[in-house]
Amino acid sequence: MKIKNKISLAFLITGLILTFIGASAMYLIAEESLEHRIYEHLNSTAQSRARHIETYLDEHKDMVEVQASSILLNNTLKRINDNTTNAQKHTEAMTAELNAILKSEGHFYELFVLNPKGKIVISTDEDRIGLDRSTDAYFLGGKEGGFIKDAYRSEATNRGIFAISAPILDKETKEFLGVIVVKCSLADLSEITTDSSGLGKTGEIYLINKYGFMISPSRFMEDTFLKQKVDTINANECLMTKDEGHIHLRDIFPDYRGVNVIGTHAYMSEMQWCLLAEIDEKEALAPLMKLKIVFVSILIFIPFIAWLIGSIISRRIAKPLDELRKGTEIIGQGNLDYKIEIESHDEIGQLAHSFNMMTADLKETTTSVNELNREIIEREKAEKLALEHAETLERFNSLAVGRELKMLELKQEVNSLLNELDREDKYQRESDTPGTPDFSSPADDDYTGNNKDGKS
Amino acid sequence: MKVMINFLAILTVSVMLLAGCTKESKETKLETISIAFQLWVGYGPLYLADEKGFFKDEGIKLMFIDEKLDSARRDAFKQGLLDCEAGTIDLLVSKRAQDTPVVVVMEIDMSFGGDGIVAVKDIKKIKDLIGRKVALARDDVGETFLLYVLNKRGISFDDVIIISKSPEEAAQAFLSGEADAVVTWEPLLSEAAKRPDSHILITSKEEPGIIIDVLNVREDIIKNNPEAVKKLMRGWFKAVKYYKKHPDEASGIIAKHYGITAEKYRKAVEGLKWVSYEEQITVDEEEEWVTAFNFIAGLKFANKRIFKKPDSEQAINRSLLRELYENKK
Repeated sequence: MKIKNKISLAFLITGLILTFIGASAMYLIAEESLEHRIYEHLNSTAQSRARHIETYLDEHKDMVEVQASSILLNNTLKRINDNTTNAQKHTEAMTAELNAILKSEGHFYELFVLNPKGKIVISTDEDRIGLDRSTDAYFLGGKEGGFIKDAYRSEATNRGIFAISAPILDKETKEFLGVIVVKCSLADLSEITTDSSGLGKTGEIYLINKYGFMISPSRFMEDTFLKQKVDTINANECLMTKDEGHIHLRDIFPDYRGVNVIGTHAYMSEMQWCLLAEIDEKEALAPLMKLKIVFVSILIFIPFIAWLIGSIISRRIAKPLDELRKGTEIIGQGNLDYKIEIESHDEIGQLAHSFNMMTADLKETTTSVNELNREIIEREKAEKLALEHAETLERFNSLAVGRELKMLELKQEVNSLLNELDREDKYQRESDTPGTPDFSSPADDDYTGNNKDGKS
Repeated sequence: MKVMINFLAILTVSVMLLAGCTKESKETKLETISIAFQLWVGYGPLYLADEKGFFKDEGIKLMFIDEKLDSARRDAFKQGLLDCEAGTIDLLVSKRAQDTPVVVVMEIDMSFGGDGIVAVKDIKKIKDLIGRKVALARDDVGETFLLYVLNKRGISFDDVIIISKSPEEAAQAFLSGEADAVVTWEPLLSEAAKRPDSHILITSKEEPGIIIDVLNVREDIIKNNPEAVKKLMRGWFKAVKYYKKHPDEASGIIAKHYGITAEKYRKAVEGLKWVSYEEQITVDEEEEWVTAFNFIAGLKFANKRIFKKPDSEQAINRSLLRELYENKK
């Protein structure tokens, strides 16, 4: 890979990593902050609605307990239980009293009184007098004190109701006389939960009973009363911890519809109910979607800019390097006169300058070497010529010596012949050193046959 | 070109990473089964199985419902709100008599001293209860036990004065002197016996076979989701085995749910016998269930505690027990 590309890629990756880390951190902080704000809002709403419901139930329980302690009811029930003669009269009076309450309290369905054996003896619904309710929770629970029977579907009206009961005790002896029961509509409770103010388009608050079934209306589904099981993380957390002070979860989880929501809950220990407050993730985290688009744009834009800058810088770096490369190629081909033209004063400029200097030095050195080579060649030529002359001289010398030696022999022969003729040597005898021609002793003629006068 | 490809590849991965930066719940969804029961030491292995993860291993999660009133549990079964309960067979008789759609699928334990009557010292025998105040929870196992012991000795239920209380409050009524005797069970039996002038008059050890704790399940669940019930049953048997193998550890885990020490819990469960799977699968055990059911139904009907006799055949379903370890071994 070219250095230019490497630099661009390095810029791109660095830009990408830094942007990703930065954008992710910012996104997560924003998400956390938004979720926290939503959760806090949901939590405070859930807690306040739960306390509202508890107050509502307590007030109604107090109201029923007040009725249970009324003198009229006490006396009437004693007479009914004792089966006294004027029991009927008192029963009618008490029935009228209960009907008056029924009228004034629009959300009461029925008020009735059970005797100690659990039979209805007084009721706003006369048809129900005589029914045995001894095994019903409102009787068994109501005997022990103020009691609220969990929400259930009325067999008579098929409506969702709950019942409040309280024991009727003899004012003096504290003897158990019976139980008063008030059946109430769930409308008021539903009104508390279905108030969607501050909950946006998808936020909802609803109640589930101890078994995890919905007992208040759903914002999204019809006919959910005791039919819709809420088996969600939020519901299970509430029902399993059964703790009002529990730190509630803050998470995204599917609700009873299977839609992802953010939610919290408030537990109501007396009723073992859970009030769940939830809002669709889509709506709650909608601002995050905008933020996500911005972050994705940043994630694309910043690395692109980084890549662009990287490309420009890499070109600025790569261009002089390319010049250098070209220069080396030209110089490598032997053109030591080539000069690299780089004007910058950075390291690359310095390198180019050094390179040019190096080329100049190289050129100078190369010139000296050529001259030396030429001298060497000339010397070699002179030496060769000298050698040739020497050889010629040697040959000439050899010939000359040969002739001299021959001359000596001939002189000796002449001397010998003269001696035989008893004549004196014509030629001077050679020196004591035999074999060595004596060129310095010519008699009349030199060895060349010429005499000392230059005559042959 | 190559650089551009690299750029786009890295960018795509990064965008995907950022886009996927949302919180999702990764918890594995377990099937939830709701179960209600009263405070009885015999049900302790349910807590053990829950805490040791035996139910989770089977793929279910138990939701413990605090509902002390049997009538409320009956209503909850009728409305399809409650999935199952641990309770005595006599409660099943009452529910079946009121057309409650529940059936027994397995035995949990047999009381063998864990239930009983605590009385003041001058009540020396059962006959001495005549005309005395006895605290108990109506339509509950205490009532059945008293009915049984009185009936066996030819005494009418009406011969004693019943102080009707919730199971927890019955013991308190005796301790406070409101009642002369109380019919209750462990751990409340031991609590009631702390009254200075009291003694344990009789327990299920002397009258065994009448108080059998069973697992009652709503009929439609058995029909539509038998596997979930089997998972619960297998978790239970695993817990019972674990308790027998590690009583010290197991009792420590369970005891905290009853607010007593591990030692007290171990002592309390001496008054019962957990019936293993191998014991339950026998024919004798089946006969025992039927006998107990029919006997109690007759007793309750005779004493007008129920107004019709329920059919044991419809109330007992042993098919899940028989199929419990099929495809599991």
